[in-house]
Amino acid sequence: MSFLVKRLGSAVSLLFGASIIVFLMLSPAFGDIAFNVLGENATPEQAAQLNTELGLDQPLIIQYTQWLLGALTGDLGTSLYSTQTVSAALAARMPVTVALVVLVTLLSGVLGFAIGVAAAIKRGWLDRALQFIATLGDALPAFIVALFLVTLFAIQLGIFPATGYTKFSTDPAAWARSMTLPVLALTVVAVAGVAQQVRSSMIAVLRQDFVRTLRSRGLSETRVVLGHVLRNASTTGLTSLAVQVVGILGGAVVIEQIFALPGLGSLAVQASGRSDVHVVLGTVTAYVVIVVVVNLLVDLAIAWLNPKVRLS
Amino acid sequence: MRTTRIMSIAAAAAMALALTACGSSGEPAGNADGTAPLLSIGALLEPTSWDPAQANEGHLAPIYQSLYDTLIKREPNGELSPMLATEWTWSDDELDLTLQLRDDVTFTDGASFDAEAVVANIEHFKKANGPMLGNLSAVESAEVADPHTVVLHLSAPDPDLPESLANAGGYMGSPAALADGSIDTAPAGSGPYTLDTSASVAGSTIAFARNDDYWGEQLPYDRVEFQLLADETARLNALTSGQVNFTILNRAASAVQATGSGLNMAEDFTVNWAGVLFFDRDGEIQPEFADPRVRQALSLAIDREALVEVGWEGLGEVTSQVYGPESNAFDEELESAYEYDPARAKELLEQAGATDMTITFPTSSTFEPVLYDAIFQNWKDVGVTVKAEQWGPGEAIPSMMRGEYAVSFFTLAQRSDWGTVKFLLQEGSSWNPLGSTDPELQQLIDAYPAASEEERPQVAREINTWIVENAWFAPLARPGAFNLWDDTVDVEVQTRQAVPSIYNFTPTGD
Repeated sequence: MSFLVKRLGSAVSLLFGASIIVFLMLSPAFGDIAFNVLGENATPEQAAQLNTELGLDQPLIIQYTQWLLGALTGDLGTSLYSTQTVSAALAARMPVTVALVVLVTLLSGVLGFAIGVAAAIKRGWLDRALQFIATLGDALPAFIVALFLVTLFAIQLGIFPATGYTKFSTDPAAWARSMTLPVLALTVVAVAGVAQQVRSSMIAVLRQDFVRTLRSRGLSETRVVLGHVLRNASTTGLTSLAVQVVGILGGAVVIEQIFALPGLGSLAVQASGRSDVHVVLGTVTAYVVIVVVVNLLVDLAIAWLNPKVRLS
Repeated sequence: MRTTRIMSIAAAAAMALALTACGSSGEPAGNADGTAPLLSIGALLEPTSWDPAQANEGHLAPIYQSLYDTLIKREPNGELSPMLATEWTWSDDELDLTLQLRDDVTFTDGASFDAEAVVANIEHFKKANGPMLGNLSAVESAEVADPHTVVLHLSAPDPDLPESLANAGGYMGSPAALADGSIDTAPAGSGPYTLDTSASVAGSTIAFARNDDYWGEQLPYDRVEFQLLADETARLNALTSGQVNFTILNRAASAVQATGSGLNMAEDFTVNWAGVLFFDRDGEIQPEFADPRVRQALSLAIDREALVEVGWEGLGEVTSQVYGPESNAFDEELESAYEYDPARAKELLEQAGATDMTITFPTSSTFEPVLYDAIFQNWKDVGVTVKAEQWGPGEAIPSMMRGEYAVSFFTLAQRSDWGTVKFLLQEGSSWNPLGSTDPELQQLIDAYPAASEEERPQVAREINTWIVENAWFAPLARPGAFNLWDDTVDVEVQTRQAVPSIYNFTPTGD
């Protein structure tokens, strides 16, 4: 319990710090917002009027305090560019990014563990192939993989849509089609890292004395590997997966742009490009929440797998 | 054994993918009666509000047109024709515009369209501080003459007012929805379509369904979807893979790629002019610019032909004027007024005593870097040093509007005769941030609204000639506006609008 409270406390202070940094970093552009909202045909007088309407002519400290007081009561404000509230924007965007991150994490977790274990046990060609793929996966950014997948599966073969998004509630099959290529693009990159970690950690554990003892007691190889070695080695794999999640979130920003998925990433890019400060702060909050929750889940999983962690 | 297991997982995953893929079904392209179920458009921008007073022109036009009718309609060639107003007449002093209105139009929320509704819309537009407020800047008030006649009173003549009423400024929303503010999020117009909120996804798709009670001729598509694809590659991929039927591309290289894969493109269609804007004609920031010979020299120094080749893959027309061919002010002879002549440019710079000039030039990532490189190299060749400064995202327009630079490169819409004056040439124009003025030019500007309709084209040409001769700008090219579509649709491009109006799409039946 105290562990949870500690985690929440650090998340709140992280959010507070991040919000100040975001505010300060975007503040030099506040003077440009009215011009950008109104576009190239507006006069300076119109821009000045809009600045006042948006409260952008107030001192920075007052603007920030107003936002903070609102945020504390659950009101994250309204986009400076549209009539949409930040909460509504996040509610609409969050499911897309969360689905993307959860699917990629699960898929790269399962595949990463499977490949890592197989490589550690089999060694030989499978291991060498893994090394090669891991290096390639590290070297290839997700957007290059995405462009390759789009060219092959969307443009050449026409199996999956090149862009766009259908809500799960509207048509689950269409939703699955719109998510397949983005999920694959991110998984290809994430899986290599996880598999590498699992492999090294498996090899290290396999060399330990207790494995020899288990084998000498006549336990089947499957029980030794899955029941004992993997359980010991999984902490490293899971930690690596948690680190990958942050990478996946970062990759999702670009992937959402390429596939025109209406997720947090595309919202964050659009909002930060035009200094829509309330929306940027909203997306930062959402990202912090996702990272904290994922890390918490991974910590719980590690604790479940490894009693030593529970004790400490 | 373990390898087999991995293989079977992979096989299962592949099956799952294939199964989801099987779910995709091609929509039938056309119906026997000339209608079609769906038109899908790849759009660049999303409206910020459904309030018609917040509407913008260009890319957003077909989106607003789906929901809101304008008082006057713009045909594809730019001619004006009746829409909600059946006729419009100017008073002799051109300070009153009387509009006769249709009597058979109802808004989607049930409110009737009449003179009261027009007055409510005009008054709301003037108060709402929307992006196109300037369109109705000359309108002082609107008055109900009878239930189906409205009179707009102007503070000064505005020959472009009918055109503005065919654009943002002329969209009519339900007065009830304007009054209670619900129109921001729940559009209520009289247009050919209504917003289908259940099929729309914020930030991804705007879906429209046919307005079965539409007063006018039904448009051929039962549904229209705008896929919001801000990324150029996403738009290109969506079009090439058949996900959207129409889109606009910004980069010439993408357009070449798309036509290479068999898509249709509007030939020689341009809406913008690209060029150098000399904001500082009085020499406040760059003293040398006060001398027209310096501006002329800088214009002559640029090799426009080469620039169109490197910057737009040859897909553009070289020009020296800001007015487009469909305007009255356009003069064929002025097209080559500043043909590439570095020797003459050097001469002029010498005569003006500006042989050792350093220009600070802002650059934007919106444009291909090669365009800037070409201009800077040309200027270097005539002895001018250029110091480039990069604008961050979203900084370009505010920076120019505040008059922070003496000069810049940009692309701007080719406007009508009077629209160009209003936005570029008057002392208070938004694109004249340092307030340049000249008695001779002012005289011509004043003469335009005062002239008779027959005389105006001549005055417009004189204005054009004056700004070309005095090199207020160095227009370089009219780059192609890359409207692209597939074989299922026939598209008529819309003069002076980046994308076609919603009325300009017809199914081919393919």
